Amino acid sequence: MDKSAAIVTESLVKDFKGFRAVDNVDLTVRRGTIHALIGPNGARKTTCFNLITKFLQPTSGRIYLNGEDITRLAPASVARLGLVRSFQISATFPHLTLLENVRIALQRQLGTSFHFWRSETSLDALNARAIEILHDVGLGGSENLVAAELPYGRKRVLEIATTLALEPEVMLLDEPMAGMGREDIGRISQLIRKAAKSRTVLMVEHNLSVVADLSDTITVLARGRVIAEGPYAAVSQNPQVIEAYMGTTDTESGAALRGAHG
Amino acid sequence: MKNYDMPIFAALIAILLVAPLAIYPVFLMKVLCFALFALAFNLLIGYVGLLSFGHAMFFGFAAYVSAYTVKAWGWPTEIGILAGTGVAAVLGLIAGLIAIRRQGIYFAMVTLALAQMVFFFCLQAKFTGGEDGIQAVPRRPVLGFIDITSDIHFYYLVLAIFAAGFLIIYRTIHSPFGQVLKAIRENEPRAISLGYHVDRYKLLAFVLSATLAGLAGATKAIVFQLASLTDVTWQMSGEVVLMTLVGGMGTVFGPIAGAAVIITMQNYLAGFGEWVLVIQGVIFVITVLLFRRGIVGEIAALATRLTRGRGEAGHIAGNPATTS
Ligand SMILES: Nc1ncnc2c1ncn2[C@@H]1O[C@H](COP(=O)(O)OP(=O)(O)OP(=O)(O)O)[C@@H](O)[C@H]1O
Ligand SMILES: [Mg+2]
Repeated sequence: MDKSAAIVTESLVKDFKGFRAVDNVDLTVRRGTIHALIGPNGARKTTCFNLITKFLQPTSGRIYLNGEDITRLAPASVARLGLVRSFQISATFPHLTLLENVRIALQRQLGTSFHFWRSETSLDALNARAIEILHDVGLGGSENLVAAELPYGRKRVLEIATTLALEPEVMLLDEPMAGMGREDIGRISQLIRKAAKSRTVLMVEHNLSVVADLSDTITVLARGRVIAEGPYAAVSQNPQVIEAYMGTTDTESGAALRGAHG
Repeated sequence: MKNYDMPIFAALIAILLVAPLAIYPVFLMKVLCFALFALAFNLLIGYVGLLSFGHAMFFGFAAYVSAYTVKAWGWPTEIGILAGTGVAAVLGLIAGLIAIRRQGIYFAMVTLALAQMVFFFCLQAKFTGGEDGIQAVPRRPVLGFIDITSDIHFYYLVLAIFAAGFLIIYRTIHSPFGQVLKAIRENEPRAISLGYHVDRYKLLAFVLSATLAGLAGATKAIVFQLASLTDVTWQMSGEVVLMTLVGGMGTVFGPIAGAAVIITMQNYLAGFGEWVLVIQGVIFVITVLLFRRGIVGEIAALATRLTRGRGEAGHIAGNPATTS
């Protein structure tokens, strides 16, 4: 096993009732890189994310974070080790303000999260930092809005801001650009690139031009198996990959794949 | 939006201070005990989203403990109440450890099952006095010098206990811990992914809720000088659900209003015997169908609508200036 890698999975297997969803996935995400996990709809990309972040318990196989075996840990413990994920569906705290959303992440470091006798005004000490983070991602000035009021694209930005507030060493993003317009895609690409300067990013993304543009390495998954890995130029020429994309009804990605390497 | 909770609370306490001039103190004490019970229950359902269908085990068992320690062991009143509260906390920890990992309806079922075990224990155990319960619990002076034999004196002590319980719950909701509870209720997977061991937060909320339900039960035993099986039945667990729902789940004052309404109704309708249950059932159905937010919830929603209406009017009034 590569000790210098941020994430390593060894023969990761997940069985759901009656079928093998994830089949012997060996994945190595090198530290400091942007690594994309792609594949047609239903390729089990999200399932892999759930396994790596321990939201699902693998049937067999091992998972390492910075060389440390995390296969048996609880999901919150994995997060505490610096591996923080986002979700495919936008995951904000809808009825909290933007400021409070980011503060929930910052709050952990105070070590007062079980203090039910302490006033919540003690959290105001974090406001300046939270506002700064919101400002950095382009959400400055709207810290008192309620998250549910944000347009979809901004919600995803807020989600990334909340994740960044934890200063995670490794960030897992599940389709951060799904359902977004071009402008938002540009904004989030920039955000990811900036965030990746000091950390490792593993992302699932269907928008292949974004993937081509951002990622150092790409792993292609189909039916729970790794069918190709490497830089975009190599992967996109791979006949198995082309077949996997063509063989699905996922014409959008298929077209994007053809377009991007054509 | 400006928060009026504390002024409202102050007004409520002011009213309660003079209430004995018009209302029978034992009745008021009963309302306050149940209000505290419902407030404790609401902490769980309203702020964590966990429906416990076994809260009578904390309320009723704490009543037995305080009645027994005061009567049989001759403990001072305040120590007896604290003992009941403490035992409820321990019981809450045990029940919580068993139930907290279950989701939704399974959580309700596990708490109900545990409460039934406590019920049968109370039915069988010697110290509870079986069908008779523990009667004629003495009202000894509190702290050795505050005479509580007269109802009016004891009323002010119960009011103080109620106020303290309310403030503990209010602070809990508005604490760093309460903020995490909010996050968990809003989006549990996200809270986990930010590194919060959500089960531990839910467990602490459960223990706090059980403890305060115990405080309410332990106090009630001294008020009525009686601990009986009624308070550990599943019907009692259902009653606190009803009070909270009628008053307004997840609102600060709803449980108090709900307790007042239900207890008043039970008092006035006592003559109807078993029909009280039917009437309560009808109220339950009406609340669920028509007033989902409960009394306080509906009032708050109305208030928001009114202030927002005024805000919009102001906005429109300000428009010409910007367009000119
Ligand atoms: N808990 C579960 N139990 C049974 N089957 C599951 C479970 N979770 C996922 N699956 C199955 O896994 C498959 C989808 O996997 P997954 O969501 O990981 O794919 P994906 O690559 O993320 O797809 P998409 O691109 O659409 O997001 C589906 O066939 C689904 O039925
Ligand atoms: Mg997915």
